[in-house]
Amino acid sequence: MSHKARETLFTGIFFYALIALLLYKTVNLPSSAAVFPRACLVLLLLLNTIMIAQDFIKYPKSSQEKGVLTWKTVRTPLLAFVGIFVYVFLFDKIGYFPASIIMMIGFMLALKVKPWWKILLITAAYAVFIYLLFVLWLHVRIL
Amino acid sequence: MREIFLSALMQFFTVETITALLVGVFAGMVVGALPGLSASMAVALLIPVTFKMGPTPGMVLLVSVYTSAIYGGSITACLIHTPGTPASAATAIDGFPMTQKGQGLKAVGMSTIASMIGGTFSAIALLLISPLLARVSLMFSSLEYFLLACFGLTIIGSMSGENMVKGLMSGVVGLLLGCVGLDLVTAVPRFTFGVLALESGIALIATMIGMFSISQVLISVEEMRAGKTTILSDDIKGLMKGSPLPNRQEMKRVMPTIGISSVIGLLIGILPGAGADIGSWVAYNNAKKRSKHPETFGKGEIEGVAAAESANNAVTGGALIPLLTLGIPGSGTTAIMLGGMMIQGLIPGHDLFVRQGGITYAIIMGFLIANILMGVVGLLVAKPVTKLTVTPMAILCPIIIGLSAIGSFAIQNSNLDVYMMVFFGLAGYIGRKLGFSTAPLVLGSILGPMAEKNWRQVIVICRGDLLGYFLHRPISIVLFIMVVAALFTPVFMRYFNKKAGGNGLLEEEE
Repeated sequence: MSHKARETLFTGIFFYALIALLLYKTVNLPSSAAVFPRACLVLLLLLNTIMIAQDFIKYPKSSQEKGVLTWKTVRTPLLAFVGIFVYVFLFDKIGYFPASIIMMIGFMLALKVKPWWKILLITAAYAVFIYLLFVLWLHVRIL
Repeated sequence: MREIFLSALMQFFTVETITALLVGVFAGMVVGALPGLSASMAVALLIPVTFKMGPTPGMVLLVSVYTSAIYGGSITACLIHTPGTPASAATAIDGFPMTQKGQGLKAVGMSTIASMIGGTFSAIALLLISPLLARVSLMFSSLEYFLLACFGLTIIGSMSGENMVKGLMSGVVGLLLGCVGLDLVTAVPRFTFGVLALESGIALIATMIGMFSISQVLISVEEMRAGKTTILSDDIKGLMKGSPLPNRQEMKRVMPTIGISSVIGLLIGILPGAGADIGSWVAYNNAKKRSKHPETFGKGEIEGVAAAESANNAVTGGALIPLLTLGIPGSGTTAIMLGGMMIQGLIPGHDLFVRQGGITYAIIMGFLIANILMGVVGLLVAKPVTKLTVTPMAILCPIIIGLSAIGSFAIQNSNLDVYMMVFFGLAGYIGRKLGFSTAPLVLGSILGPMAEKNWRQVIVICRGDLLGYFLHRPISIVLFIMVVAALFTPVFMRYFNKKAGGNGLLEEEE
């Protein structure tokens, strides 16, 4: 099996699992409420099968096509995602402004923005802008 | 009529109304450009501000914010692939590739001109033919709305990018996302997994911010690791010079598209429930289908930007037609605006055009001028705004993350929406890497509930005789023919393409 076909197979297995879970969730629904989601799930099942078959034909065993989700390519974005998740968690726990200040400084330091005063200036300008727009003007309760 | 017109002029040309107009245009543009802040949110948050104002300046402020927020969303859609509002998602498809090719200034300029023309066209329609067009929308029943939703869903095929099957899968996942929440008829929770907050459904704006903005941040981080530091690569930064105005040839090419898209946007705006987001998708799809070079769509085609932008701004005027004449809001934003009108003592209907004609025509006048002003201001700020693209991504990324978080939170003051935004950000990133387009998912989640709700109403209304009911509704027959035509057009195009020996998009997809 080629690398690309294997990647598609794993994607397909994920979708099969999702379809099975959601179909199970429709079991206890009244029939009128279950018709539309079930129709969508059956359609997704068909399309998923076509997708797998399509890539198995398109990328035979001899194919040199590489998959796109390699550890090398997704490592940094996944780290960034963890950073974003931590930021959202902090937003929930300590409030928007402290969390955003930590996130912005941390992100720019990690992405090697220089000099340090530029980082502070951008962070301060951002915080003032958000305060004026959301707190004073739009009255969003983030304090 | 002459007295009403003079009264309208007197109501409009006051310091308070003109100030409201200017503030509304500028504020709407800023709010629209900020990812996650929608026109509906801006209007909702501004309604309390209008309490202390008179009916004319208060309503002029709201309609100005409404139209310029829809336009403002296109600026970030073109420049950083982050639609400021859901209505600009279709604009990002061609606007961002234009920016990547060094034509960011032109993309913003084109979206400004198209928005101005679309909005002005709809304002004139609102002024002249509103009672007539509103009468047509009154003839729509659930069956017509269901068919309209189906017509919208046929767009998914053409939104699919390089892999039709994966695009359709994205669309179906979107339809399933639309099922999350309490069932409208039986009130039974569907796919909520016991989470109470999910019973009101998936927060569409948060989903969209995640899909478009956070996934873009993750892709940018990946690109930064590969050595790319700005949205534009260094070798094409120089192409950012020049005028934001398209040249004469380009204008000649896009004008028919702008005209048709404005009409589409206007008609969709009149139909309750179908907002600027649907209008822009339908117009984009139509432009792509009519184009002699559909393969260029999605790769920085100026016509794609023009179609989406003229339509979404034309929707605004269209949505105001049934609101003012019949009290039926044509979109979510106008539904909120209806509350603002009631507070001001303006009751939609015949009286609004007769007894309160001065106020009503002053509001319409304000809407017309707001659209023109929006174009002028937009063209003036297009060049400085385009500089966003040469800002280092290391600075843009944390700003986008911060804005996305506050934008997702501010809609319902809900932290769950922010977590949802992050989840869909990762899903969007992985999906985009694997070739699943994000646009069909958003479209599916908008149109899915509309299709299901109306279909179930049709089943009840027709009492077992669906065919008989259908055959007695000429508008349904027309819409059905449109759906079938939309479904089979790609097949015919493929046939004619092969016959002509062309190598269009459909062949490339194979």
